[in-house]
Amino acid sequence: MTAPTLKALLSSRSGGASVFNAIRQHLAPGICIVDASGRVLVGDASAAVSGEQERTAITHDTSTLGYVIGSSNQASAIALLLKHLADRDSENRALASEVLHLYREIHLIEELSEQLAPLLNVEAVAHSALEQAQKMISATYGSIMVLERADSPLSIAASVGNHSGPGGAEIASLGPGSVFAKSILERGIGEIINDCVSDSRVPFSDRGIKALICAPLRAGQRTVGVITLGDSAENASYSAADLKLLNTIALQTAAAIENSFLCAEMVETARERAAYAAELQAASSVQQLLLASTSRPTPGFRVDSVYLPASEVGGDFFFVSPAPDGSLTAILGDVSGKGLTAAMRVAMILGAVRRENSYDPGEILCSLNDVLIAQGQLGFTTACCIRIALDGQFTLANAGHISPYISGQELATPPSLPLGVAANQSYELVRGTLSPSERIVLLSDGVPEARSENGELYGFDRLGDLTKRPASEIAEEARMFGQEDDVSVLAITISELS
Amino acid sequence: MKILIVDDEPHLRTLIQQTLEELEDEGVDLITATNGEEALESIQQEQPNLVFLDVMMPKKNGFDVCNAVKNELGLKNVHIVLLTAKGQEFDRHRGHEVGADMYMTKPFDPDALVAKARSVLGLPA
Repeated sequence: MTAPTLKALLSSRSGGASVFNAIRQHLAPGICIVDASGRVLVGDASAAVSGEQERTAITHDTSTLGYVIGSSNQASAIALLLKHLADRDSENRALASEVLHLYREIHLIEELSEQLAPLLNVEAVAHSALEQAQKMISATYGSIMVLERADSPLSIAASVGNHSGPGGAEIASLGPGSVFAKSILERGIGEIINDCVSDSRVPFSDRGIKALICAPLRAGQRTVGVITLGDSAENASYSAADLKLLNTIALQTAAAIENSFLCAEMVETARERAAYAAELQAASSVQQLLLASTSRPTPGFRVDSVYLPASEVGGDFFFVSPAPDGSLTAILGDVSGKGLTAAMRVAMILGAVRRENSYDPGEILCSLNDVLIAQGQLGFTTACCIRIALDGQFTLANAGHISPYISGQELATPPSLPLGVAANQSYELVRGTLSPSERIVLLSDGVPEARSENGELYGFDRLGDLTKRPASEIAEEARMFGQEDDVSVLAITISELS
Repeated sequence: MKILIVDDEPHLRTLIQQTLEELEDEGVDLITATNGEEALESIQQEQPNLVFLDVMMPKKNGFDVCNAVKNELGLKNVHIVLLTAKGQEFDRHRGHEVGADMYMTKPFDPDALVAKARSVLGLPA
């Protein structure tokens, strides 16, 4: 801040000038006022030149602003008046200077706010904040350390200045091991150390730093890190005003860092979801391929099959295979659970079915049960298996699945546990004859469990009539009604008798 | 070279004067006015190069003064910077309509004020 000059004090712009001008006209003859260099500002110039007159100094602090030349009593009074005006002017300038400094801080804070707003990267936020902090608070060194989680250690997100302290050692007070920073974290309040030599929290290696200031970065209830500044200038010291300013910077920085953490979490979650969706899509493709190859042409029989999964991958399965004697073996089932886990179990079951040597439905179900028990799989699988000879005679075994329908009539099957629930199970065979005009339909519970928008279940009452229709229409009926689960339909007709 | 400072609040005039004081050593005269009418008189008499003009003032507000200077008196060479409260979008638009060259929000950035003065007056930064 510039010191007042006598010329400025006496100028029309100065507030004190009006006071002086009021008495100016009453100055005694021979009085003149000169500045420190001897230039005449007011009064008789000849008095200044003669050098014979008394000179009364006009002082301010330790400086001499000028002189009142003249020997009358007025000279002393005028010098005193001008000194008073100078002192007042100086106070006003100091206040104005303080206000201007605050204006600068306001703008730098606004600038910081605008810079931080679009940043979603912790390091970028920290660098920007530290850079701005150095513009407002004197510092040779600085760092921002963050806590990704409450239980994680501090890590440096940004540092400025020469991070190597005097003698080449790292500045411990700015790093994750800083005792000072940890104490700030624990207390949750900023602090100043202006005597680093005698403070035990500053290690001996950092004694080149004269003053340290540190504030916590608090975002709501959570502390996300600390900001530390250090000054190694001789006579460096931080004030309460500096700490207040640092706390303001810390508040904005903490919010921006918290946003960055949240953004990173969201990006990671989105990536995981995208990866899972891709996996589901891949699994769906594999499952479609698997199921497409489960129906082998069997001369003498007509097989209609439909599979409508409720989501990308489903838990229903079916398999149709000719036996050496020309008979047809078919199985249709439903794995409990959803998603990739259910789809994997379907793939495993189909693999076991393909490897099965027996064509007897009861033996097939027993084998599958043993496989599932051995796998220790959680959940259960229902299945219905049938073998139909070319003359129409059939044997059927059921493991907890919906009974099949023959020409619209439910074929009662004895109760039994689903597969994978208990070991060493046996499945009672049901025998019958399928005439050429009849059709047997195996289906999954996705059909009777279809639910309309108003909550009505399709149910079993309508199922008999529905099963008289083609497989595609049965499945479509369930879908249109309100599909909630996978829908599978397998309809088998004998096309000729041997 | 002359800069006219117009604000009805004396402490703000003082602040702006103190901010621009360094330019006096480079041959710039700082003159002040306390209201819109005084500002118009001063502009016509002193023909300043640059005017820092508060918007909210008695006896003619800053917009009216700017309009008079730029459009009625045709003094296009007088560079006018409006000083307006922060965030008043309406003021910015209106300032543009009356021909203001720039606006600054209060509290002003002292460094930006000096930089603007140096730029308009062709003084080294």
